[in-house]
Amino acid sequence: VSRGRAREAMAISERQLTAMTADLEQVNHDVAVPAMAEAIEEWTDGARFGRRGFLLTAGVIAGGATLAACLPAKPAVLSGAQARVRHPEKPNGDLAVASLAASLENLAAATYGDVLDAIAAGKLGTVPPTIASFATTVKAQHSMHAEAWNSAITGAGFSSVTTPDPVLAPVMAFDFAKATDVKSASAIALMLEDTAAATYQSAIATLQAPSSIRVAASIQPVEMQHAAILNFIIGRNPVPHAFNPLSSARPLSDVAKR
Amino acid sequence: MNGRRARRRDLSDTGTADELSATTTVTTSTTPTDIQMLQTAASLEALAVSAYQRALALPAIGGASADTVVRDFFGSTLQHHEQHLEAFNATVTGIGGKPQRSPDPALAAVVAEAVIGLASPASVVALALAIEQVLSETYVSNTSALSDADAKKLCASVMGVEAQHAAVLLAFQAVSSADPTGIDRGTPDGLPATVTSAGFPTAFYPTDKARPAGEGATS
Repeated sequence: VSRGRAREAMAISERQLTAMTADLEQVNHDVAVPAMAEAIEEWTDGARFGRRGFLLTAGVIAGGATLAACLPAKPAVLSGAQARVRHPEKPNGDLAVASLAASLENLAAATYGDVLDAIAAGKLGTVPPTIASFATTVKAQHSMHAEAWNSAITGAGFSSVTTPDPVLAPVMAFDFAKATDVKSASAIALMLEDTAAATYQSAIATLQAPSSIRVAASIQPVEMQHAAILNFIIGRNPVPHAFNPLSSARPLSDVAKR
Repeated sequence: MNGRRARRRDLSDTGTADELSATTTVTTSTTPTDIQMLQTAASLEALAVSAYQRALALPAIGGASADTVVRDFFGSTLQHHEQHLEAFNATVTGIGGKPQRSPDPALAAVVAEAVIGLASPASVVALALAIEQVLSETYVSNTSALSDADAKKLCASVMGVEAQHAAVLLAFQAVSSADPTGIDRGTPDGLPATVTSAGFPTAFYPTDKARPAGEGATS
């Protein structure tokens, strides 16, 4: 079979592809987001009612619109026993991991926003529409990931993490300032995706609650899918490893002083 | 089944994805053990190895005139699954279980039948995608259920790789007459704008196609 025939056999029109993407987005809404919301709910229940030593501040409930819409309202009145649970000064345990994760997601969303700004300003040269589409979709997904992690954090009575990883952010800014085309910008994004995936994968070994593991496990493969397509864009093997390495995982110390 | 789910079923060229999802599962009243989950993972890898071997034997996928991007991907992915099979069996042996080298008993017949009917690259890609989706979703599901630290680490290191395989296969389905590597050759203008987003259709990885944790356990 020639290369051309192979392509013909896999032919699909742009209209079909758009419809397919819309269907899969619906699957995301029907299946994936509710499952995530359930895991977050279970996680914050454990934190809220003292299983891990946290106290819910009255009225605090999960943040952003998408996940919040999936979460049932919880009573804000605490029993005396619950009210006696000591509130730590900052998130620890699984919630410390959530803080690190949220900061990485904030950084990723901001970086893709910078990419889109650079495209609009013509700083990356001629950029095909598919690249802008990629950056737009991935930015939205990272924002949803940040929202998910922050739902667990705010559900336990802490303020959400709205800033990027303070250690990586200046490195990314320095590198991105030198990006002049799609490839160089994609390489920076790939580093971020690899870092996020490795960090979540590493966290799975240390997270305590099954619900928090489920959150990490449902996001890590999506970051790796972003990385696969970025590898394609750059011209590398899209799946370079049989076992994903942990070498780029970020430590909790990145956000320890938050 | 609601209309949204029904639309999702239409995405498969061959229907194999539906069949893999609809295959009857046997539920047990006991909690699956780490050994059972690892044996099931090994059985799914054995299934994938068999399917990719059959795919590469087809001229359209593994032949000299096949698309080099597709051929290289299938060859590399076969090696990944062979390594995963060995890793899951090494880990299950390490915690006192028996290795599992037979394909998942509930899915083997479905895949074997699908393989017989493979005629075009599109049908091969659809079958491979169905298998990768089942594997990745099963591992995502099992990661929070495993108790052994090494087993959990292994599952976590593999689940994203299977998801990447799925992403590439989704891109193959989406590129149609375009070439994903064309982006690298400076010829991306003909690509539909949504091609590069087709590889990651959900912000949170689903688990509705995960196989039962003990399905591939040895008796």
